[in-house]
Amino acid sequence: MQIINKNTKVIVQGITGEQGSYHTKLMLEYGTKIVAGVTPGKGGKEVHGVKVYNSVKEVLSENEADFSVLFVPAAFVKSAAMEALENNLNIVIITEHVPVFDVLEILDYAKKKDLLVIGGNCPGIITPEESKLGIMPNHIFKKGNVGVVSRSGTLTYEIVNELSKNNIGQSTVIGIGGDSVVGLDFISALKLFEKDPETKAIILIGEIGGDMEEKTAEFIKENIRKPVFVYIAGKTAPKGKQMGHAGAIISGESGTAESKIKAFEKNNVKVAEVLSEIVDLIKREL
Amino acid sequence: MFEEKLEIKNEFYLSFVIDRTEKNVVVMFSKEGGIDIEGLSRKFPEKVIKEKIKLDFDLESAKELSKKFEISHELIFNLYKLMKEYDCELVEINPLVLDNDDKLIAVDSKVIIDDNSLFRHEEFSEEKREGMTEVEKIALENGLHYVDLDGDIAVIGNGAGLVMATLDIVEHFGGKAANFLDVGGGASVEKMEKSIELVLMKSPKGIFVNIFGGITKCDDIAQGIVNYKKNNGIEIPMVIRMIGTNEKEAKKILMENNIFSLDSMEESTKKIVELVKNADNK
Repeated sequence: MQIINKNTKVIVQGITGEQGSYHTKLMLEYGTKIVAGVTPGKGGKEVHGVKVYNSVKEVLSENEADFSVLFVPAAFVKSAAMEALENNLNIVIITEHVPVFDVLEILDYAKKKDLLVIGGNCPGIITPEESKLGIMPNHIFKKGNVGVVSRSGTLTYEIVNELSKNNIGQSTVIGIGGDSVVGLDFISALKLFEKDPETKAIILIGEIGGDMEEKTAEFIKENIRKPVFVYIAGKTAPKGKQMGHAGAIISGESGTAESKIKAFEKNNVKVAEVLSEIVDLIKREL
Repeated sequence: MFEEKLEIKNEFYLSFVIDRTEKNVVVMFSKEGGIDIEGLSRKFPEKVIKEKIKLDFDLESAKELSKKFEISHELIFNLYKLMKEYDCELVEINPLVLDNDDKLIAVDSKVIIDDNSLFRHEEFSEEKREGMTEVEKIALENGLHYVDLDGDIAVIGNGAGLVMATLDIVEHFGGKAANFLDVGGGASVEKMEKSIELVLMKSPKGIFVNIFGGITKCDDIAQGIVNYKKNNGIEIPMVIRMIGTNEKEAKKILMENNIFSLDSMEESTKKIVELVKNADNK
């Protein structure tokens, strides 16, 4: 029940931009089946051997695709996303700083079409040794049985790197993004991991801001049988300040790391005190 | 401040807010305004009406709410219109006063604009700087995510989650971070130089740089640090932890300039905390 695998067909929107083009190359190197790219006005060009079209519709008149990865500037994400969703593609939004009302509209439409949205402001999703949609560094991942879902980018790489060094491979790693409103959330990711026969244990990396972790903690108790291990970043973050990610902000009394850690512990989910502990916890489990 | 005196019949609460967990706009109304709505909502949930609204909330939707809340549908509709037009995360009137002439008056209000939408609202861009410290403002001007904290170990990293985790681990081993600074992905040599300059403004007792290079090139980061040191000198202890893209080249650059670097996040944290403590004890 993998979200992506070696057969997933992908288009890249914003392929001719600096980021789009650079990461298309890296995704191809990883083995991702990129069937086409889209940049309005640049149809007919080629980027790293991938044919560029003017629109998603044009791509689909000649190709089949399942997912689109968006490297489009924030101001244009909404129109690019709606275009992909209109054409029945699931989407991964890498772009940061997408206006929140645009995100709400994208998610509203995706829900009506029963399509997946991952991100915005996310590093993407990877099934090691099969397919990568996004910007995660190719070499740190290893195929295995641990599912990882995270709000962070480089912190995720840090943890994955430690896992791989200790010969603990990953089934699928999903970066859901650092913004305050995101598409695929922790609960949806856990549901997918619970159904995935490849995943035997799950690592969840949360941070301050919002109450997604608190709601997820309750959900785990009732619905997830596989072991889940958690790390929460931002124990020392001050109130009221946005810590890099748009969604990483403690407002008043809510969204603190303490509240999230308490919620997980209350629901019998183990929370690592320090980063390195995560690997020890998983080792003991597997 | 001098203001017109009001003859108050009732004080209400009305707001539209983006609920991040519901991934929706939520309207909140209470007949008991003028006080802390969060507290009221917790203690007496029946006194606060909270409802998800559809994104294409229109006059008809406003009329339905108006029947429930028993206040003007135009007010409700116009408030949402304001929110949508100005890309607000919150528009709140508290208290919304009904005076003795049955007139509705917004006695106090709060609006939070979505930072990500500022590119389409030029009129607001300056106001983001209120509530920021001097260094935070300079950081913003240079495209750096920076937050002032009250410790003495300057922290620079790539990626908000990683930097937050670094602040946490510094405290875990007995130190205190002077700041949060996320250089973002793919930072250039110049950006790194600027980052060092920025964190030194508060005269910290040490610097800890923690980089996991994915799209970020470790050698660019190293070069930035070295350039700053060559041009300005760095007198305080500094520990660099750098792994990932071009780490070998980066280590060479650092070593040639007598800058200490380690691979392990834990070991480097312990090291900087120790160095700063020793400097203190001299």
